Formats: sequence, C-alpha cells, structure tokens
Amino acid sequence: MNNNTMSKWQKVKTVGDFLDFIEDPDIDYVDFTNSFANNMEQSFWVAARITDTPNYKQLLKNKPEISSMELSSTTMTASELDYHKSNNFGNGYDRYKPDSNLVKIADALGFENASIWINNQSPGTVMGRHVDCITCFMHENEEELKSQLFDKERRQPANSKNIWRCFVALEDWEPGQIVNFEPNFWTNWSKGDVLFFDWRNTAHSTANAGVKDRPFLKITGTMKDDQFVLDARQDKSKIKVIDLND
Amino acid sequence: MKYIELKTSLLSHIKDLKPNDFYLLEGKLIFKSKDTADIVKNYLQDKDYKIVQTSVRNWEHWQSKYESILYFKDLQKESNE
Amino acid sequence: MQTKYKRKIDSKDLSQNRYKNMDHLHIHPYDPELLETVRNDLLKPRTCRELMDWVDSHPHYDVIAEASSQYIRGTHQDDCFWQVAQIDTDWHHINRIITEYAEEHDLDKNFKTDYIDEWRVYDMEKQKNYSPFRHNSELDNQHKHGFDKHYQLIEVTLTDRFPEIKAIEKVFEFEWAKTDINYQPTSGAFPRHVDFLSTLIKRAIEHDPKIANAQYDPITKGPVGWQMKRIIMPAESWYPGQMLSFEEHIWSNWEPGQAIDFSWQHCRHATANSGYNARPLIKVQGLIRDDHWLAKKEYKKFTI
Repeated sequence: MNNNTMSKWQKVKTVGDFLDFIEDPDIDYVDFTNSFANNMEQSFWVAARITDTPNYKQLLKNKPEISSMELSSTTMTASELDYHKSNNFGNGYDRYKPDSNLVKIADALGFENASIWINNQSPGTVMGRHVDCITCFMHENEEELKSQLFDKERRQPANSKNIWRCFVALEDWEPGQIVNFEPNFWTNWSKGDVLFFDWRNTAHSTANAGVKDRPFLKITGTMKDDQFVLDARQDKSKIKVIDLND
Repeated sequence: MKYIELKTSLLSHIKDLKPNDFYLLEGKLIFKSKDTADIVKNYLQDKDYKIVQTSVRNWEHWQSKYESILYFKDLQKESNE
Repeated sequence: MQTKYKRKIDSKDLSQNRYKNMDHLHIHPYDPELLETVRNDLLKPRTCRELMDWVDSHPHYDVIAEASSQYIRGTHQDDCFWQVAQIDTDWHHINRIITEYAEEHDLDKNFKTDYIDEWRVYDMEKQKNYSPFRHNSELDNQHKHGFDKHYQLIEVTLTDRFPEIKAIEKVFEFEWAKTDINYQPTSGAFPRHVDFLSTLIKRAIEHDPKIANAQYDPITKGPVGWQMKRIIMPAESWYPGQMLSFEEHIWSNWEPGQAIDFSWQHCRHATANSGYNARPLIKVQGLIRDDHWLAKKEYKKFTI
C-alpha cells in the first residue's frame, strides 16, 4: 500500500469514511485491496446445495443493469475504473436483478437483508483479479450504515454480524469456465452448488473461455444462523441440502 | 480412457445397447433414454466407477431429444499413455 | 483470400460450404449426433494428404475439431498435462526481448484477433501481423460466440528475430519443428478448443511426400509411425489471474522453463488473462519417432 493510500486509510473511522476513502480517485484502490490477499487465510468451500434452482433464463432477456463490457462506477471505484480501463477489462459480467423466485434462495440460506444480483458471465468475458470490499452491500445500505463505526479487521460495519458472500451456481460447469479463488480453482460445479469464500482475504478472478453463459447468483449479507457455513468450512463433506419447495 | 474404447466396451458388455443409444458431448455420455442411461450407470458403478447422472437441456438445433447424461468422476491415472 | 499456401479448394464441391455463410455456422453445444457422424467419418482410413483434403472441403468444418476429441470427463489431471522437461537459461533476458518486441509492435494496444493469410508454411523475413491463423469459419464461429481477443502469436522458427528461443527449440530435436510465442495481453481469452490440424503438419504434408502419403492416425492426430508433440513452457513466472485450463483441470503457479506436454489431441484447453501482466508462453511443436526421449516418457533438464 503506498503512503498516500495508507495515511488516508488510517483516518477511516466510520462506514461513511470508508466509502469516501474508496471513492477517492487519488488512492490506489487495487493496490489497497490486493494488500489483503493472504495465502494463509484465503479459502472457498461449498456449504450448501439447492436442489431445484428456479429458472432464471427469462431474466437474461432483459437489458442488464450493468453490461460486462461497461466500466461502471456502481461496481467499481474511481481508481479501480482507471486500472481496469488501462488493462482492457470491462465489468467482467452482466448484472441482472433477480426475481422473487431467486430471492427465495437467499431466504432459504438464511440471509438477512441481503444484496442479491445475478452475475452472468457470457463467453469471451474476463473479470480482472481483485479482492472484495463488499462495497455494493454497503452502498445499498448506506443511509443505515454510514454513521456506524467501521471494523478495519473485518472490513465491514463494526456493529454488524459477520457479513458473508456466496455464489450460487445456476447452471452446471462447462469446459472453459474458469473461477480462481487463489490459489485454487472452483471447477466442475453442479447447478445449485452454493460456494462461500473468505472474501476478506481471497483474491479472485474469473473468465469464461467456454461457449455457454456462466450465471451465478451473488448474495451478500448477514445470516440468521451461519453455523452450517462454518461447519462446511471445517468439513467439506458437510453440505446442507436445501429444497426450495420445503 | 478414450470414448472409442469405452463405447466399444459398453456395446459388447451391455445387452441390447446400440451405438445410436448414446453419444459423446464435451466429455459426457448423452443418452436418448433415461432407462438406458440407468442401465449403463449401474453397470459402470458395479465396476467401481464414480458416475454422476444429470438431466439434459435439449437445444433447438439438435436433431434428437435426449433424457440423461452420465459422466465420470476421479478416474484413475492411466499408466502408459 | 489468396495465400501462397492455398490449395485449389475452389475446384471442390462448395454447395455445402460453410465458409462464407454465417447462418450455417454451428452453435454450441454442437448436435451430439452430428459430432458422432463426423467422428466416425474421421476414423476412416486416409493418408495425411487425403485427411487435409477431407478437412478443407468438409461441410461441417467448424465442428471437426470438437468431434475429433475422445476425451472422457473425469480423466486424471496427469493424463491431461504433465511436465516433461526443465529448461534453465537466462529467462530474464528472454522476457526482456519478448517485452521489447511486444512494445515495439504495440501488441498490447493493437489486440484484436482477425482474419490472416496463412503465410506460415513458408519462411518469412518479417512478421506482418500477429493473429494466429484460423480458417475463416473457425474464426467466425469464435467471434460469433463472443471471442475477439485471443492472443498474439509471435513467430520464432520462420523468422530470425529470436535466436535464443530457437536454441530452446533445438534441444527437443523435433523434425518439422515449429516454435511460436503465444503472447496473451491482459483481458485476452481464447475459447476452449481441441487442437486439430496444425501448421507444422501442413508444412510437412506440403513438403514431404513421405508424410503426405503416410496413413493418418485419427487418435494420435499425426502420421502413423510418428507422434506430434506440442510442448508449452512459460517464459515468465505465473502472475495471479493468468489462466490455462485443460478440461476441468487448471495449470497455474508455473515457473519459467517448466516444459509441459499435454493431451492436445483430445483435451479441450482454454486460456484467459484476468491478471495485470501479459502472459508469454513458448510453444515448441514437432514430430518425433518412437525412440525419442519424449516418446519414452523420460524427463530431462537442459541448461542453455
């Protein structure tokens, strides 16, 4: 982290301060987030499986909220946009609003007030490597969160339960679809697999060098009971099976 | 294991299995009939192979309809290839 | 499109030609029944020359490569790719000259994969463009599926620009050796594909009647009595975000000079660069006989 970024980071006290900090075009946001990538801590695991994922295909016929080739200030900070532009990256996926059937997945997993989006990565699209700061969740709840103290260790509101992020595979894996949660790769997933990852420390990147869409449902938020997530992290055979019709 | 070897073996060991009952698609075996897929799956599982079975998304541009897909998991390393 | 290499394709029956009509390009996932028909046809006995003619006039040209794969999902990673050699040399220097070349020719800025004349059968004094040769309908198919920035191909064997890399090519003692640098700028993505007919085989067929008249083995995808090898080795250490997949397996964390062989005949492989550093990969290809050390599955270390 360069000195300018470091000194501004040290002044961050509240969630509002943090959101202002990351939007400051003078900080090196990519460098800042990459500094959290930690090979000893990073990990991903499948914690659940949804047995009957709803049909989402109709939703992809809509115009995406953000297109994969766009550079959007909704999903990227100012300095992040510059970095991506200079490396020919776009948003990396088409973002769509989910419908109520897909929102049920978040409810079934036990998320509370989650940020939920469909991230569809079409063939030929590449998502630049990064470490998350769950800014979409904080921006979407800014009014409620901005005056709260910011926990720099967890990089989230201090008063809040742990914020989790997961991806739900809406289709089976196809050859050429590459998802890198460093240092490993998620591959050969089945439709309905729910992957959690340590977003605070895990650098990740994705590419669709396959020939079919790669749709994930991205869910970010706190959970009523995250024990099954913690259990699955310890024991990869402990996968919670969820039938949405139950 | 190559498809041609697998197909030859399945056709010679499974009664009534015909060449046009199944094909290869992106490394997976795709079957016109789920019943046939179940028979092949049971045969392979009896030989201690780990098999995953899934449903099929049929596409408009395909000539035929298919009901089931089988694919292997965790095949052993081949010694002399 | 006239090239030095182009054979008289116009004299063949083009009534089912897919080259020019985008509507006839096949869409993934390809029809399994069509793939089986093409696969079974491919397995019929032919000489290498006959195989080339069959490919060039095939009405379903763009599905041939996919149909030719015999890959079974679940295959062990070591049967997809494996290290065969370690080349120790001044990789810093090699990287520097590749980077200088890339900067000189704006390979990162001018990154768009488009049609190109197939010039690589003959030696060239100077390389004029960097898109790898693809037959029109193959490239059209890739464009149709969203891929327009694959990688930049820098010629080694047929020009004199990189003597250091030609020295690396020599250690493999290939016949009909052909070496390129596969330089992938950031944001590039080359779609999953199965290799089929390479430039080196075409050169060999065009210039050597022994190869042209040899029977073609559709499983090893080369002349009977020979094996075609494709060795890839990184010129630089892996950077996060650089991706190279072989079916459900991924190679990463590489070091320069790690030479790997892979089941190019059957494994769908793909590359992408979601990192912030261009990815230079050296590809050395050629023909070997059964007494070659690679055919005997030996591992070697070379210091150049």
